[in-house]
Amino acid sequence: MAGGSRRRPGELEAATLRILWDAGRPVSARQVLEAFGTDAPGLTAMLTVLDRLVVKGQVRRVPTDRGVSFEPVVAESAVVAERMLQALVGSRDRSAALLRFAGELDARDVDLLRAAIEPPSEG
Amino acid sequence: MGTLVLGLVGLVGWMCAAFVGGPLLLSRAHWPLRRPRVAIAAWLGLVGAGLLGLAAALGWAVIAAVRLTGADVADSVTTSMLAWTGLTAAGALASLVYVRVEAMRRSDDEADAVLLLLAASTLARRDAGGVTVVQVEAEAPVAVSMAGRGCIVVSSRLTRELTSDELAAVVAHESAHLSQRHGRVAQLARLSSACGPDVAGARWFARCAPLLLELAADDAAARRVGRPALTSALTKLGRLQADAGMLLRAARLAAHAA
Repeated sequence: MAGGSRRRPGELEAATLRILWDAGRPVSARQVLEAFGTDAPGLTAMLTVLDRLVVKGQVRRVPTDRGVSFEPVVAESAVVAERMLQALVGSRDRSAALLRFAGELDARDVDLLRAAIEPPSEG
Repeated sequence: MGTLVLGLVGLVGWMCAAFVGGPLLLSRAHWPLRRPRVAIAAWLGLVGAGLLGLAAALGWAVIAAVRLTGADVADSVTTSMLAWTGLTAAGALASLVYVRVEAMRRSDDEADAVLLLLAASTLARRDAGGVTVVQVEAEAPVAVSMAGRGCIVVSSRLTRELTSDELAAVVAHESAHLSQRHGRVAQLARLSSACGPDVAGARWFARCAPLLLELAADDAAARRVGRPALTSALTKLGRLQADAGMLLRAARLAAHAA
């Protein structure tokens, strides 16, 4: 893997979004790279990440006279984080890959668990 | 010919045992809630054994049909019919699995995109034994992780409510979900119930998977940070959210210790 070899999947995307939010205006791929500083990935990797974010609908391309710039689709705010978290854990047809600490035990699970902990008191 | 039919009947019996009988036995047993990780492994083993039986039956029928050409006409007609029936059934199953996987992938991708946005809007991030813990500003006391992301999102409310030991227990629980690949197991369970027959045994794991996965993660977390921290985290959050499930999980840990 070129650049950012210690990064976990998605971390580069998250960091890129972070940079776009901090910029507060459309920025080019090169400017994003500059913002990464010494930890920057390669330009190709950067463009791939930006492309992926565009496909996911989180970033949009903005044409400028010197090429293409990028800006985040969703504005950042604490309210957004709250809403996103609610949407994530509250959704009816929730992704099975999503695992919460609170779990999602339904009434039947609760009964099973209760029966396992408190053995029936009949003789 | 006779051996082929006998063998195929045997393999179908094997598949029934693996897909329906085994899970039915597990569902009647009491130990799965005490040893959730073993129960999960047992179910995965049964699924593997069943699929192996399916592949063997299919392979056998096809090879027999190919070899028999030119022999007794009635035999070769029956054999090739068996092979074609098997291939058709396998094709139908494969396309059903494909459709279900695509449907599941859409909701997974959506969740993944939201989690990514959350991870980017972080207040603080730190490393906890190989996974990234990301704290976001939110009033719901939530900790959530996503398969394949290696990242745990924790709300600011949760960090306010819990002591550092309790928070470590919550993180250990989510880390166990990630390291034991519970997301994939949950996806497989959902897929199996979406594709398999609507029989009590076949559906057992899909129904119990959420519970067994939580209990398995609890056990792993208790081993890592100790029962008291996890028990008190579960009790605190269970009371805060009036969640009977979390309170019972705390009671189960306490009962184990006794």
